[in-house]
Amino acid sequence: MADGAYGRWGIARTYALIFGIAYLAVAATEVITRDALEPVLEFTGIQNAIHWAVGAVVLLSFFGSESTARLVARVIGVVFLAITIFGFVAPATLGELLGFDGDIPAAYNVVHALTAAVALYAGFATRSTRGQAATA
Amino acid sequence: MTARSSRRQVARIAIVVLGLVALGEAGHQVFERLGWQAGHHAFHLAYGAGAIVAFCAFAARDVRRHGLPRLTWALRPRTTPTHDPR
Repeated sequence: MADGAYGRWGIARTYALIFGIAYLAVAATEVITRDALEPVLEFTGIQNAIHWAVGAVVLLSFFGSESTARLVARVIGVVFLAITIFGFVAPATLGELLGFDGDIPAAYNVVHALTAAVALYAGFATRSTRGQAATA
Repeated sequence: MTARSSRRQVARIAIVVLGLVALGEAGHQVFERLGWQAGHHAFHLAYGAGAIVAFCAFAARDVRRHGLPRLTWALRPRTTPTHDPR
């Protein structure tokens, strides 16, 4: 199986496990913490639903193959990159879309940018398979 | 992956998620009671920062072992023969 060439822990599946857990933990904590998140972050229902959905999809891809995890990481990376650009260009519009009172908090733009970078790395980077194909 | 090992893995992951939430919320409460604002705010970004640090550590180890990765559109890796067929 070609996926085996990545080894047991490919880059994308590792990303899926770590970030799937992180997103679900963030979503669960948001529900508990709510108002205490301010002023750095803010709780909104839409944003929280997105965190649950992203966490679930990313973590589910961990249980699939490395190829599945790579595809999901690419989609997440592209979407978050678009959201980051949107957040910098039109913070008020994105804030409104996600249920905030005004602009999207700047901290979210930084988090979105970092998430996009990591997801794109996981989705597009592939390690050299020389010497591993025979053992896979 | 068998159904049994999948179930075990799901249970393990659920325990990790719940543990993180419990631990994080406990830490959050402690920071709030102590009135340590910086710690309180740092907590908000702890999961994301922790995930990025953990992934970067994995990526660094991967680069050390296998060299710099290639960027490719292909979802499946192209395998290179390990011996000369001649």
